[in-house]
Amino acid sequence: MKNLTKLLGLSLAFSALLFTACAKKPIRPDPGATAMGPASNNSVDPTQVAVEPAAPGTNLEARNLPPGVTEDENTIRGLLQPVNFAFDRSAVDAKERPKIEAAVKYLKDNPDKRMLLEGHCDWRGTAEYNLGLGDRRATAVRRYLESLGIDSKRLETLSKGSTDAKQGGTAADWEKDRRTDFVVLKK
Amino acid sequence: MKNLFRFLAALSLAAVAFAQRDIGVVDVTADTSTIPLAVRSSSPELQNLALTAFNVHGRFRLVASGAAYTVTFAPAGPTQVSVAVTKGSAGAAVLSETVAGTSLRHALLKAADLAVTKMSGLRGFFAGKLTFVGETTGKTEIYTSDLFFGNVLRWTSDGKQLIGPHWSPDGTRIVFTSYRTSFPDIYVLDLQSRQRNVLASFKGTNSGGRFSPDGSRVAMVLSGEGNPEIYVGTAQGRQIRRLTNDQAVEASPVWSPDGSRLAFVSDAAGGPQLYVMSAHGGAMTRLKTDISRYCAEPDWSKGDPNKIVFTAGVNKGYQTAVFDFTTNSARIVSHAPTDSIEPAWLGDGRHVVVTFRAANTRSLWVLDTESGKATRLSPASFGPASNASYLAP
Repeated sequence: MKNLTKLLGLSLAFSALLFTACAKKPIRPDPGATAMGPASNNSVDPTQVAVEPAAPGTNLEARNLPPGVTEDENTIRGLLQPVNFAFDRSAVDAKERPKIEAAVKYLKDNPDKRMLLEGHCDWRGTAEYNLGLGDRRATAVRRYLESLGIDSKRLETLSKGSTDAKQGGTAADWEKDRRTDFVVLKK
Repeated sequence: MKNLFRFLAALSLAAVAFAQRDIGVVDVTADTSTIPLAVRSSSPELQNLALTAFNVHGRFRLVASGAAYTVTFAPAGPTQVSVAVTKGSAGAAVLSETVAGTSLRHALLKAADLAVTKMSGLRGFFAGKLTFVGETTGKTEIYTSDLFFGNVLRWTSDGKQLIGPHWSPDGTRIVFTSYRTSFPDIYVLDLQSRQRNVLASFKGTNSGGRFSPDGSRVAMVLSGEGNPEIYVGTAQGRQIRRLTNDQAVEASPVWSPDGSRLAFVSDAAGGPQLYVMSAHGGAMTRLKTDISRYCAEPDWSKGDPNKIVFTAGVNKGYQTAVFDFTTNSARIVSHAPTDSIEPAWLGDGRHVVVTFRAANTRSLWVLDTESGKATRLSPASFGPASNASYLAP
C-alpha cells in the first residue's frame, strides 16, 4: 500500500512536471502575435526595444514593481486558501487544485486585481536552498494559473524561503509552512 | 587496524546510505593528536584573549603542566605585542618576535597566529574577520567583527530579512541578499564608502552572490528566466551569463580557490546534492558525497583545495560534513546537539565556522573538522548570530 501511494505520488509529480514543462510560456511576448516581423525564437518584439535590456543575452527582466506594492494597505491576505506542498516538493498535488481554481475564479471576477504568489518553506533545511524551493513552489502555482487562462502580466512571484517560517513546533506546524500564498495586489 | 575497521564500516554504511533516508553518524577518525600548550602573559587582558584563541584550536590542548611548548605574550606598545615560544621543560627558544597590528587585540591575535604556525605548521586563522547575520536590533542585519567577537560593527538597517553575507577577497566589500524592497535582491556593500549598490534585482529570486577569488566576478542564483539557475557576471553585475539550464533548483554557488570551477547545490537528481562545473559552464558532475539525501551549502577550502565542507541531513537534523577530492568521499565531522549548518572555512583547511541552530536560537562556533571539537564564538549576550563568512588575515 505504501509503495502504491509512493508510485501514485511519483506519477503525479511526473505528470505535474510534464504539465509545467508544457505550460511554460516564453518570457517575452511572441513577436508573431504582433503585426511586425516574422516569428523566430531569437527575434525581439519591436515594441519591447525601447526598454533597455536588463541583462543583454538573457531573458532577465527588471522587476519594475510600483513601490510599496506588497505593503499591507496595498494587499489583501488570507482571502484565498494557500496551496500546500509535501516535504521538499514543489509539484501541485491533485487535492490542492480546487484552491487554484478558486484563485482563477477570483481573478476572473476581479479583472482589476493582480496576484502575488508567495512561496514558503518550513524552518528545516538550509536558507539558500529553501529560497530556491520557495521560488519553485510559487512558480508551480503561477504556471497552473497561466494554464487555466490567467494572463501572466497579472501574476508576480516571490520566494520567502524559510525566512518567515515558525521555528520549533510540530510536524503539523511545519506542514502549514510548506505553501504558496495567494496575495491580492491592489496596485 | 582499528582505524581500518572503522574506515571499512564507514564505507559500507556510506554505500547503504544513499539508498536510505536516515543513516546515523558516519565517523571516520582523523588526526586528533593534540600538542599540550601553556600560555602566559603579564597582561591579564592578553592572557585571556590568548587562552580564548588557543582554546578553539583543535591542534592544541591547554595544560597547567607538562606543556610541549610555552607561549608568552607581552604588550610592546599601544598596538604591538611581543611573542616568545619555548620548547619543552628545557625552554629552548623557537620564536621571539614583536608583531604590530591595528590594535593591541589585533596584534595579539596576529602574534598567536605566528606561534601556531611555528608549533604546528598550520596556517594561523585567529586574526581573520567575520561577517555574519545578527539581530541586536530585533531584525536581521549584516555585522562584522574579529573572530572572537571583538570590534563588532553593524552595517545595515534594512529592517527586513537578510541572507548570506560574503566577503570580497580583499575585504573591502560584502555581497549579500536583502528583502529591503520586500523582494530578494543581491547587494554589494562597500565598507570604505559605506555605500551599497544593487548587483541583481531581476524578476524572481536574486540570491547566493559570491565573489570569485580574484574579486572580478560574482556567481549567483537568479530565477528571472523561470527557474533558479546559476549565473556568473562581473563584480558590477554586468555581462551576466547563465551556466545551468534545467528544471531543478540550483543554489549556493562557490568558487574553487583557483577560480576555474564552481561547486553548487542542485536537486536535479531528486534531493539537493553537490555538483561541480567549469566556471565557464558545461557539464555538471555530482560529487560522490553519498552520505545523505540532503547535501547543501558547500564552501571550498582555500587552505586545502581538496576539501569542500557542506551541510548534510543526518537523521532528522543537519550536521557539517567534508568532501575530500583525494579520497573522493565525504564524512560527517560535527556532532552538534543541535543542527550544525552554514559552514565556512577558516584559513587553515582544517577549521570551519558554523551556525548551531535550534528553534529560535542561532550561535556561531568554531568546528575542527579533524577532531570534531566545537567551541562557541558568539556570546549569549549578543543574541542570535548566524550565516558567517570568514576573511583570512
